[in-house]
Amino acid sequence: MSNSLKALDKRFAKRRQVYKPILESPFTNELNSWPHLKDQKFVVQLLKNTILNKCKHLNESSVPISQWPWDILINYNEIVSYLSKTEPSCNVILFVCNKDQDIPSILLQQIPILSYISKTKVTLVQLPKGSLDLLRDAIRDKDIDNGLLLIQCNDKLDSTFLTQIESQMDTNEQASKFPWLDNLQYKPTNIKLLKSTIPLQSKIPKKSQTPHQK
Amino acid sequence: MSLNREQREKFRDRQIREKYDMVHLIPSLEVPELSGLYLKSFYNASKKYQLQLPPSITDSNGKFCGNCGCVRVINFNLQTQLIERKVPDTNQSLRILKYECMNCGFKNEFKVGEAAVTIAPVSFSQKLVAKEGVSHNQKVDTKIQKKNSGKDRAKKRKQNSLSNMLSKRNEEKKNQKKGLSLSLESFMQG
Repeated sequence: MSNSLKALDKRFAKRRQVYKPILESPFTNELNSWPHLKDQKFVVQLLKNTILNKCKHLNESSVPISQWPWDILINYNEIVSYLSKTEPSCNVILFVCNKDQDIPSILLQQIPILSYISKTKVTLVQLPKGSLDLLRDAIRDKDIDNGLLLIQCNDKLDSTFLTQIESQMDTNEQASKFPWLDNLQYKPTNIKLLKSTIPLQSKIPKKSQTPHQK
Repeated sequence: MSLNREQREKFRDRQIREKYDMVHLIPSLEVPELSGLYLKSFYNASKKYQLQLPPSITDSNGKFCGNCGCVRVINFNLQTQLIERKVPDTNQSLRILKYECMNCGFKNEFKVGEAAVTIAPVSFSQKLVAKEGVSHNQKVDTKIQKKNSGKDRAKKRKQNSLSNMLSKRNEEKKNQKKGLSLSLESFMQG
């Protein structure tokens, strides 16, 4: 993009014009669709120290992702199908690079909705700008280009890591509510079977109705 | 009674927000047939007030289905899939996000990016050596390419100017003269 004065002016002018109040509606709550963190830098450092640095070593010694010491998913389709399960499964932390411009917004648009209506408890963590390069550097797989990293919170994951991440989540109740999605969660239909009987005898054909007599 | 500016804006905000909330309420009412109607009403209102909506709302086929107008909610009325498709005659493949609306069956495709060309596995030691070299080279390459593109354009522009063409012609004439003198010398020597 050119850095001429005119181009800059255009860019900022466009920004000013956008009508924002619509996103503040408490019903849709789009402004808070990505949960806020208390200290983003701390979370990035934590992720780097606990997970990414080890990933880097594992990568260099060419250990496949399936054999890593945690259960990690980075493929978009796999993550979506994991969160779409109709029965609750192991809690997860989902790291998303939603600030990086390399990732088109259309790809991540449904992620907050998915993690909200999912039966699985998802801790959605948005990473600051530039985190995609960190992930790319640690996990050398083309799937990481989507900027998604899902870690299952089972015994393999350090429990202090989990508590530290959770303590960084903004606990403002209003911020994490999306009333318009509340009725859209998957609910299994409650089917009950009723035992009944029917007579074995075949039905007697009805008598033809007599015409109305005047 | 006419409203002043502040009151007008308040009225506008409320109206727009109500319409937007209605659009989002439709999926839970389970009457998806109405979604197009309400979305149109919302869009018309924003047009009437000449509002520039955020791109997350206006991106075509993104937030709303382009055919029936329902708000997309994954697993409720939307199925997504990310696929890779090879571009014919090249090594590259494109990453494509497929959307399918479960209300009307409308299918969409979004180009998400180019998938990296698969590289043959390299041993660890080779990688280490290559990494430093490649990263350095890449940086240099990109810089040169960027500079070239700008300068090339400038050069092309310059080449078409009148003074340039004149100087070119002059040089050609000089060359011709030189050629003559050389031929004379060679003649003398011979």
